[in-house]
Amino acid sequence: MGGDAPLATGRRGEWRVLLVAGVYCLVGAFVVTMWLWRDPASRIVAANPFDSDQFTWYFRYDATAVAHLRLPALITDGMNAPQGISVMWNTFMLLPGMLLAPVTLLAGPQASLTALMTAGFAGSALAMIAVLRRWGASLPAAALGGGVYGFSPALIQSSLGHYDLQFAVLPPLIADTALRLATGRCRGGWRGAARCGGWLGLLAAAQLFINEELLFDTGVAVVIMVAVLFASRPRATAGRLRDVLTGLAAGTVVLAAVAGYPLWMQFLGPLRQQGIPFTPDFYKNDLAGLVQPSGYLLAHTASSAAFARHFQGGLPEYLGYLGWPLLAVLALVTVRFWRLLPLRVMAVAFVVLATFSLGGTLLAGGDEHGLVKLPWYWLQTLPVTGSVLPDRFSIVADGAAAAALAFGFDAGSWLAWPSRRLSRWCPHRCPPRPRHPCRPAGRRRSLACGSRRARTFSSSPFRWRPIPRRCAGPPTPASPPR
Amino acid sequence: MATYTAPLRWAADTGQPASMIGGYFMGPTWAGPAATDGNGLSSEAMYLNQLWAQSARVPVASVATLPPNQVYPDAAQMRAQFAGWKLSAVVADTSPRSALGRYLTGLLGPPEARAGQVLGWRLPRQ
Repeated sequence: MGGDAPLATGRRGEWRVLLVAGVYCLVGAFVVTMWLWRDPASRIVAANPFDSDQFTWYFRYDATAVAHLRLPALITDGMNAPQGISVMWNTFMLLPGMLLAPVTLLAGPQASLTALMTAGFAGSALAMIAVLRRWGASLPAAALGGGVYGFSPALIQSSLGHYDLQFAVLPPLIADTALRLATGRCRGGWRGAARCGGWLGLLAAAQLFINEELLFDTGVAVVIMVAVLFASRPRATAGRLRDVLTGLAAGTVVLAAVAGYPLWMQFLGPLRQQGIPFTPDFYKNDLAGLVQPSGYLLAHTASSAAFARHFQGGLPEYLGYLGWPLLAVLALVTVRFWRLLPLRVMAVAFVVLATFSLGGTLLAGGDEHGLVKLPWYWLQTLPVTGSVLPDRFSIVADGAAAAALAFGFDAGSWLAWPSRRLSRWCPHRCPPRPRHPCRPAGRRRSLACGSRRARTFSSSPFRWRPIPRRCAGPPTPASPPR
Repeated sequence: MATYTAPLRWAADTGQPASMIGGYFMGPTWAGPAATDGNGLSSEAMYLNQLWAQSARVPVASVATLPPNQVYPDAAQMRAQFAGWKLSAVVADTSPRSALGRYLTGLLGPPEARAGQVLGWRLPRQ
């Protein structure tokens, strides 16, 4: 993943930062899954043994193929003999299943799934941290975003047997690559765009072999983000079109090369099916579920746990919770820093995705309000969108919320502790307030000086760029410590 | 079946059998639309599941749908279904004296293999 290195540290230093962050994420993941690690080969998260049993079978299937030095067949009569089943229409998780085949063969499929779940928490958090750092977030902000996403209620609830959804490592990387392509951060002209597009195609193919639905949800999120971006900076649109098309073409070629045959088998091969077997507009978030934590979350109460337990989609699909405090902070930073484009993009994406997650008609407090039509109502009858369970948009919505919080944290920290930040980060640039000639207005000026260290999303072309210097002062170190 | 996945866990842990009737999956029905467990199990499979559930004291409703008119497949239909499934072996997690054990013994003869509570019959290649 080539691209812009974070502002304050070099490439090597950044890898070190990510390595340490990865260790912390792993520790966090082990803490969350520690009861499973007491006996990883047989312990599962309660509440959904059916899907866990199914995934163990899939992992054994993948491992058996690897043990015979071949790829898993896309049509198998291992189940439902003699007719068989199509692997691509089921959640076989071919990629993790094959990568973890040695663990499956040595310690059994449940041990592999436990390892996958732990990697899912740690990897999702680390992926978000890496992406946020790439977009200029400070380390505390990136850590906040990574924690909110990697250990989000949506991923915690998905760990109830939905291993394919819980392993949400790639969506942040896909969104990052797509946005870099859209904003011209892929260095090297059309060649750089093609390289970015190729990487995007590879990531999409990898996600395809983990969970197709999450790939679609991520694609929807990216479309929303790019739409907001272009609506906010329309003049830059035309200039980026050629590179974006180049990148998309390269991505399509890579995706077709890696996943073309499996997709052909899925949609044109034997045992193809129409639609999904689930009741339309059933698996959707309850509006009250956004603020009612389930019993699997630390902050729950007896009544909120009971509410979640009676959710019509079941606990593994109870993905909407974020909580009043987080929603309030999100609203606050969005309103306050609306002009900060990255925050705006993520905040709008979160709102739209969260709205999609509510399904076609409103479900509130367990009561169906069929007359209240929501945006997804008009999308759920289309060929592809009709195959999506809307509540699962919560996973990518939480990612957008995490990123918005991180950007808001960075922006807000300059407001909250301007003098401390200034003395710490730019002692040479910002001499004591009273005597400095360029800061007669006191606090307001000091903020301006402080924000020189922050980055803003300048209009043309879409690039992070420091705000121009306003205070002429002594030379400053190129890379101040973070 | 979606409501009873212990056989999948068994197959995952042991690697056997390599191929099974039923399972828990998404697949097309005969008409094409997707359904959990595809076309579902045949009435013969449901009958075997029902016998097993009664022997294993598992709720019948979790593994079988009873025929609405209480008409169960006879031996000829069961043998024809076995042929249609192209079975190479029948493995039953039950005792010889259970309802399922007695039924299979009557249908296939005495079990050719026994290990604890597991009975096995090898079937001629169809």
